[in-house]
Amino acid sequence: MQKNKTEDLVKKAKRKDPDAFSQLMQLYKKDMYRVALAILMNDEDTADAIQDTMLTCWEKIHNLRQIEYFKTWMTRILINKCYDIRRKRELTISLGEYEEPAEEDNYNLELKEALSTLNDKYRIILTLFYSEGYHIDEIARILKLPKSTVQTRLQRGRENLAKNYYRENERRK
Amino acid sequence: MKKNEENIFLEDIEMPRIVEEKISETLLKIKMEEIIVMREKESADTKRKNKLKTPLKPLIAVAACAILVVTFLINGNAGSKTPDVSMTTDTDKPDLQWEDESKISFPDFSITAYAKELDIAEPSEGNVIFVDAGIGENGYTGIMFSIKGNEISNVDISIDKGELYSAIIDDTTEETLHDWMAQGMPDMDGDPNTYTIVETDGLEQREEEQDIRNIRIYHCTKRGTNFMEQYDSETYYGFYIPDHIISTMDDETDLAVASHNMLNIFDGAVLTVTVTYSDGSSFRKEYELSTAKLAQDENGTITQEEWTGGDEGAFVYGIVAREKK
Repeated sequence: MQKNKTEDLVKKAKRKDPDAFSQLMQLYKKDMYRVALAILMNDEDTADAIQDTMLTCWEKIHNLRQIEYFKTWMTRILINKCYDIRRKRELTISLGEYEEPAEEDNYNLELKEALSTLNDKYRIILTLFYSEGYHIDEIARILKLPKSTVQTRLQRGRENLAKNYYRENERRK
Repeated sequence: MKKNEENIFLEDIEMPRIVEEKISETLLKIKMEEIIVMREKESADTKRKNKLKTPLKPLIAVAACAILVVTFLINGNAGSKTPDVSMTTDTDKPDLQWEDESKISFPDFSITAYAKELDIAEPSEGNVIFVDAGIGENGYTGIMFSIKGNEISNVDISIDKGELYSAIIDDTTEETLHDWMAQGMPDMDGDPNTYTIVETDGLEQREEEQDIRNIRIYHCTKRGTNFMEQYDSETYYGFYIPDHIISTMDDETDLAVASHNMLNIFDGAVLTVTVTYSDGSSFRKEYELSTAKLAQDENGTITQEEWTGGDEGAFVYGIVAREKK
């Protein structure tokens, strides 16, 4: 039922219905936030990446051929935007223009703490797998990585998370 | 991770304020752009129905360069070149980007042309230039004026060819526009007699400059050929090109010529403005309108001189109005 409703929204959005597109974005905003956060690790950049993604999706949605892959398509765009922003940020920092993190970057601290214990190559894969429910072959397509690499990173990411976050938390208790 | 182990990735998250704000801002921007696109599409459909190949908005955009020149022949001196009126360009407005008005002062009442930032030569010999500030859409030409005077209680305006509209100008910010949209855009409810022109700076510019965007909204209402209403010094009145004029345009008409032809509906028209004062007395002026090509100088300034160089060159198409006695 939910799937049909979502596909209906995608169809309408493809016909340039801004209200349907708005509903779609509201539906997927948390998914976008989790994925972007896994790459960018701060709310301000994450907000920019989501904004850029929404504009690109609206502009290009008429090119989407298979409506059932809307979320995958949107996630791919989002990841590209995140990498763009990260590249620019790294360049800025390398030029000595370090910016202080936003003062209000204090949401979802537990998630951020968990993510921070992981190397970024594991963060995005664990997020896509656990939060977004993608299969390994889908993640491989989204990230343009070999399936075996995704499997390996997923396994190592799990181990790192268990060791660096869960066990550490247990120890503190 | 074990299946029964707490999974941080499955826990609900709280959307940060900054993210929510960006999402709302982006969705609003998309919606605004779509409204503009839809409006243009509707306008194009109307034009197609009227067998026009060229879209009306560009026609009106060309008409935006057209000017209305009013020659006031007063004191019974018909044809006088030295009418007893004065005109100034108001340069004291704090926001020159928006306001550039030309005024004529009368002992009884005055008419203020809406010119915005277009460059118009100082008037001479009593000619007053009313300029479309480039906002014309559909039949709403953007050639507007307001009536100024003391103790005016009512105005009665009529025209015997073409039609008129009234407009309330609302200088606001993007935030207020959001509220207006949230209210369902009350004057965009499909009423064929109302129309809203939203004038904004470019979205691309907005992205680069992070300032609050200034927006000017023109709430327009079609008024037909004659109407009377309570006086409001903030109300502007404009010339409306009736739908039947648009339908007379043939498919092969040149864009500029088409815009001139549309304005020609006002050629030979009589515009009558009657004001009633609070003491019950009234004063009436009648203006005979005629269209004309007016030359621009080398700086692009619109002058009072008639253009004699044919159909191409530095001129704008205007309407000359003379007060009838």
